Amino acid sequence: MKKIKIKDIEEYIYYEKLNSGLEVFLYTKDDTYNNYVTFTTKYGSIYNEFVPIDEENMVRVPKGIAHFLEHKVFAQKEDPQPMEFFAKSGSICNAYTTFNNTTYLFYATEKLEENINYLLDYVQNIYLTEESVEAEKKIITEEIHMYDDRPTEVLIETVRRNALNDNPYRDSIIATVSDIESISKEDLELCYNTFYHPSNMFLVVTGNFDPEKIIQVIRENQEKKKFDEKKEIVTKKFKENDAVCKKREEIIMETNVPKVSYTLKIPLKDIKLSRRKLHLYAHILFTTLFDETSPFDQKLKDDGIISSTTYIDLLNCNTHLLISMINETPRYEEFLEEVRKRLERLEITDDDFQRKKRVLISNEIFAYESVETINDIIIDNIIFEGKIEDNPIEIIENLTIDEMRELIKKIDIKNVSIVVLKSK
Amino acid sequence: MNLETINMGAYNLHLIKTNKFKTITIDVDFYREIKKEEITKRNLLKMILLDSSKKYKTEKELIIESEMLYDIKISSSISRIGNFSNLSFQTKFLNEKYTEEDMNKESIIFFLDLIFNPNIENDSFVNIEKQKSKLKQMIFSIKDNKVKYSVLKLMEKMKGKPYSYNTFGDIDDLEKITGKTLYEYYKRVLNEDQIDIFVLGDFDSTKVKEIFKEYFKINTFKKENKKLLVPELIPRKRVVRYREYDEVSQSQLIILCSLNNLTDYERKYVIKLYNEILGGTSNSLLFDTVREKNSYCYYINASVKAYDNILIINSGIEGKNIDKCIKLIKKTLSDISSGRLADDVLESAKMTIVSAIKSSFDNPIGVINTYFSKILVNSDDEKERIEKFSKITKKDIISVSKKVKMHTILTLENKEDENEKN
Repeated sequence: MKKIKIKDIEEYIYYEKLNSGLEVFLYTKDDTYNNYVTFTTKYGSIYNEFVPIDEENMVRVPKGIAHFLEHKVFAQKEDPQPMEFFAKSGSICNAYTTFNNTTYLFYATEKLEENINYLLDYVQNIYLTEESVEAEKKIITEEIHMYDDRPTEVLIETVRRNALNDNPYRDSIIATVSDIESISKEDLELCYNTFYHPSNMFLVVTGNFDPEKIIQVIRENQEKKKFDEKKEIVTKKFKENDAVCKKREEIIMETNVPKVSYTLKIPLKDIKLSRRKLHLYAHILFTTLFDETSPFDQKLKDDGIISSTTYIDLLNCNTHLLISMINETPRYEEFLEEVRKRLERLEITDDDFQRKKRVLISNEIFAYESVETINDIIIDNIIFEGKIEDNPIEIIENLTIDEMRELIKKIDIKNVSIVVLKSK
Repeated sequence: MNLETINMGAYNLHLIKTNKFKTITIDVDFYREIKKEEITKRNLLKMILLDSSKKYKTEKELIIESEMLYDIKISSSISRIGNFSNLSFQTKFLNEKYTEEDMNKESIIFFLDLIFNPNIENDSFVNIEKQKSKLKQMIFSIKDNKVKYSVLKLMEKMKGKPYSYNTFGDIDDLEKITGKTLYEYYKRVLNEDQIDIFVLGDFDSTKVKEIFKEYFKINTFKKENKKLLVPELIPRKRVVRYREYDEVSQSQLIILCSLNNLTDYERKYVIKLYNEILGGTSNSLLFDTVREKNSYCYYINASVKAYDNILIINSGIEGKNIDKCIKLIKKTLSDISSGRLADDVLESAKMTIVSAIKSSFDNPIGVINTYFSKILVNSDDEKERIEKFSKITKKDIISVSKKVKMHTILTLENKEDENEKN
């Protein structure tokens, strides 16, 4: 087991890669009661075209399978079902699907070893029948309907659909009712066999335990199992035009306060920054332009154009970065015009820049207070950077305003997609 | 963890010493018996005090200063526990061990200054319009959350009960508030509300006590008021059902149950375990029956408000399944009453609660809430709670289940379905 030191924070993360290819990360905090364990496959909603594990050619499957699998992995042939098993020790289990990964998790104060063994076992074993797949379609349909009734969700879904053309980030993670209807048991099996191979997965345990003991439990569990041979998974590379797909759309939906998004689409091909630095710079720049500390926010609130601070959403879609300014206000036309005007002068002062750096550094320290946040940070690091970043504070300290200015030059402020959501 | 309570005259200062966290958390609670006409004012006050102050005249200046203080977090909230409305101000900042010397003191003073030195001129809050329109928007926005909106619509039918009031307040009340009337109310909060303050983290107790002595100056004496419990609903012979219509793709089903004649032990323990078994987690009986066995929904939950004497069940389902769902829920309730309850379900639910009690000590607010509930409802300490939960028997659950009665149902359905029915 390797020990990785997170510099300036004086925290350590243990790491080991098992023979099966499964990567394990352990973080211990000896005064907590709770343990948080996540088991993640690097497989989310964007991987719908790929070469299956035992085949040669690229196939295309219906959208929504990653999330569908998340539901079905929970069903075991024999009782107890995962929910029951974890509940026996008072543990809570859950799972979630993103664009890039599917994560199975539990919280436990008791029986950590048994629970880890069980988590590995149930996720690495799927049981599907035609009937159970059909029954799950009804549940997922209700889940889709739940999101359909949430105006903000609808707005954010539309933002991606209108900003992007062919990029799979365009589609919602859960997909549509008709996508779900078209999914078969065989589709689910194909994706499961390809993407749930241990070499495409990693386990993160954060909490109060003996790391040597826990890694031994995990090793033994994996050594007992037979897996297909490791194989690099080939997924389709997609092209994406720089121009937004739709410049403006108005959605009519029941809501008391109109919601609006102003989205910039920035191509990543000419930007030489690491993903992390790009996000830090974009975060500093756009919070400085629009958050409570900005003249923009003060003026629009004084004029009554907005009453809440503008929310900034950053989404890296691999080919492009989408930056959305989101707010809700009956005076949305004025808001849009003000955002447009503000973007004409993309610049910030050194004072603002230094202050925002201080905020970012403080928040790195704040994060190391709960085992959940630390676990989430590790997952993010592995999914987006492939490794643990052991010097996050120094990276922030070394950001420069000159480098940010270089980035600003790459932003085409005319490449905009606007979505308005309001009632009749 | 080490608790020291200091009687400061007009308030109690609770110092919780622990080196478990990298931060220091402070929670200041102002609470009093809830009155409908005061809710809006309390909400506005909660917003206005963190928006600007005598020293930082604008939100912009105030937030810039908070960022300079290593991004000190400040927040405020309104919650209700039975008959009490609690206006709470919280802050969390990095322990000076991780920043600079004297930052603990500076951070606490910054926070207290917001509460005690608001932006006042001529006994009137300056510029309340911005926060008024923000609050107005928050009241309107409840409709975007169909679950909350449906619960609110159901609760509105329970006239006179504190849970029937919209937590954010009321548009008509809001229009009437002026800088002057808000200032008068602010004075009343300082002088009449009961106050408890919690400080949690690794700090020098003597120094913290001195800071509060100097900067948290309140000298009035308050009578303790502990009439927390909300009067019971009268059980109904026939359940009343209301229908609301809107443009929705999913129907909402909300069921209000009355709780009658709970003993103190049942209120603190048995009803919570009962709720856990019924619809607490995804291992609950309702989840298993309505979602797993019948695929009617994605979510179904039960939540108990023990000090309101009510329990609420909610789910999002397809319109045509509403009646079938209600039947299934009724059956689940009567199954428990007639003892059709597996032992391992009971034991699992106990473990879940015990686990939650333990993990509440892993986050500062969890710890503070535990101590606060000792003060409010005289709850037992965690060891005793764990022991008492563990000893609850199936018989206890059956007998409490007979005190749970379906009272009122509200459904939010699609407008088009309404037209079809007509």
